[in-house]
Amino acid sequence: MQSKLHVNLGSLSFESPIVAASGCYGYGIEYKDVADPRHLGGFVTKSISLTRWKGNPPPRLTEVGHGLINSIGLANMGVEEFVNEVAPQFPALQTRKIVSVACKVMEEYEEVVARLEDAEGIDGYELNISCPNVKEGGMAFSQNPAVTEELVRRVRKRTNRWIMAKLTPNVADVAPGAKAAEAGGADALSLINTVVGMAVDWKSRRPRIATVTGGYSGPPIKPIALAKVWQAYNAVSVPIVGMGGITTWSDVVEFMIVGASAVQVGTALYAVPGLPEKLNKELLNYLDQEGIKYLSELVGSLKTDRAASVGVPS
Amino acid sequence: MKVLETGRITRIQEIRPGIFSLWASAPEICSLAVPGQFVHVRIKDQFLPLLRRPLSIGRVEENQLELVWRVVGEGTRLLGQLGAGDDIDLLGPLGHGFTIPDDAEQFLLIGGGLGMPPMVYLYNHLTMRGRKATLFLGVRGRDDIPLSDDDPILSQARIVAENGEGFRKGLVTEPVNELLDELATKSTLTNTALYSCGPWGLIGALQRTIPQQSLLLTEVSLEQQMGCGIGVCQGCAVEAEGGPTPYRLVCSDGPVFDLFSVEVPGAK
Ligand SMILES: Cc1cc2nc3c(=O)[nH]c(=O)nc-3n(C[C@H](O)[C@H](O)[C@H](O)COP(=O)(O)OP(=O)(O)OC[C@H]3O[C@@H](n4cnc5c(N)ncnc54)[C@H](O)[C@@H]3O)c2cc1C
Ligand SMILES: Cc1cc2nc3c(=O)[nH]c(=O)nc-3n(C[C@H](O)[C@H](O)[C@H](O)COP(=O)(O)O)c2cc1C
Ligand code: FES
Repeated sequence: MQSKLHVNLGSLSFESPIVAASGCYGYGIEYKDVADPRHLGGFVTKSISLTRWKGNPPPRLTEVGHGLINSIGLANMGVEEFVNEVAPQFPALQTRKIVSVACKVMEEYEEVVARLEDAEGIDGYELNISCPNVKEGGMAFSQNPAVTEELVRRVRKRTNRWIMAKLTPNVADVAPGAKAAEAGGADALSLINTVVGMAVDWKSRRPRIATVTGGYSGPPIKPIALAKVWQAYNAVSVPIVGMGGITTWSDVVEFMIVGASAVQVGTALYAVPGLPEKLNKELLNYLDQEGIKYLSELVGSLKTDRAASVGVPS
Repeated sequence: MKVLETGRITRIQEIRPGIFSLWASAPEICSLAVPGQFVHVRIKDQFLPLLRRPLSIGRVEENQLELVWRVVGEGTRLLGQLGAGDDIDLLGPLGHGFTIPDDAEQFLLIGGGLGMPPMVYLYNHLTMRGRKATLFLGVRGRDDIPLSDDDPILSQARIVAENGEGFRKGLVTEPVNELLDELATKSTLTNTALYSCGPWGLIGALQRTIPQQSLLLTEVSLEQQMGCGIGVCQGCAVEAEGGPTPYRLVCSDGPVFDLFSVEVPGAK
């Protein structure tokens, strides 16, 4: 019998809708001692680039109340070390393994994916075209629909594996980028990456992170994320993976109601590595209480009064 | 090996104004920990504060560990409101501890303010094994001493206070260098290991005054804003040599680093 939490994202199925977000679950192997990865529907690795990236100068993090601003700058080991040292451990992990890819230019995405094709145990790719913390590439890709479409199309030609494009919230409307990624051949879309944000120490008049602005994550961005997921859901027909500030089972339910077929949990994992297991239990409990058979029935079930519901505030 | 463990607070006390000491039973972490490691503490079962707080493991006695902290913000304030019998969510032990060379015969330990707890842990670890250790503590004044008045360590530590207040007046690096000079004239420093934990100012002062080449080992424990605490987020980078990039992670490459490998912020 299919689990009540089972979700399909196009050709790829997940035992739980809870996926660990890129940058918040390392390369997929670090947390396995403290939290069993089987409770996750899957995880997305830290974004991998063609060569090792050193990342931005410190300080790279600042906590602001309920939220976090980061400017990691995509520090990562590079695809070579990843394929040799990390990927061989993937087949033993009983969950979906998605590798995030982030590069400076389109050709590098193709090269990295081509290299990753050699590794077994990878279920799919997430194309990070939305990082706010790098000078070249990153968020700029996702802010330009034509570039988004071409990039996804090029990667599509290199692989038969499942592809998800990760979009930025740092645009007026996510719909054009979402449509472009779909047209390029993405199997799914994920959003949101972090929101450009800033924190200042008023006493020293210094920025709290070295790059001045960074990416804001955690509970305060949830309303932004819900709005962007809703916009994307109304623009495309491929499944959407929603994220931004999820900490509770009801957050998950809200994302699914506005159109997400699955969700990712990021920043909250730093505080509670075992959160996915807790969310699964609570979601099952919710389904029982509400008499809902499958969680996936919720997707896009938002009840709106007006048809033209993609929000112009009045 | 690291674990998530629910500790049970057995004792909590404000030992100086704004400085707390807490003992918690945490058998698994205690059995794994070595001096220099830390725990990542979840203050409450809610997401405000959002992140865990890193605190050095102070003393370990059987299945209990000590945490000592100063209240500097919301997280440390809330931690001080917990009481005996309360549970505390700990992730640890994290990071790499201090290197203890077999051939070292002299150990100099230098704590600066709230950098003292891991030095006390190391001091007890060494002296219990019959090794010869000298413990220094540098503070501004009596109110900064992260030890209670009845703590036996108090009489064993050489305390230096910037304000005097009945202690030797000055900077802690002064008696440290005097002892190093004395050891150097008597024999050699090549069997001497030096460890420190404290503010960047102390680390910079040690870099400027310690005779780098002559010592067997010089290690410092660093602090940096953390996210995950286990090498996942890449958030706790500091500028330091010895890795594949100019940056190293305090939580997983450290918190202990070679004194001379680290770049003190703003020193250049
Ligand atoms: C490995 C390690 C061991 C530590 N051991 C001790 C100890 O034994 N005793 C002690 O008193 N303090 C120690 N600290 C510092 C302690 O973590 C901070 O004082 C504490 O996190 C402050 O939290 P807050 O909410 O009270 O302050 P806030 O200033 O409100 O905190 C805001 C954010 O900044 C972070 N932060 C603030 N100061 C520091 C700091 N110095 N280092 C790292 N993050 C910081 C907090 O964790 C939080 O995310 C240690 C830090 C590290 C990295
Ligand atoms: C420290 C940190 C590092 C991140 N690194 C990446 C990354 O490498 N690639 C990526 O696509 N997203 C990265 N993200 C963004 C998250 O995957 C996620 O989109 C965002 O944090 C919003 O979700 P949250 O509020 O649940 O954290 C990072 C987030 C944080 C906090
Ligand atoms: S705190 Fe996350 S890598 Fe160190």
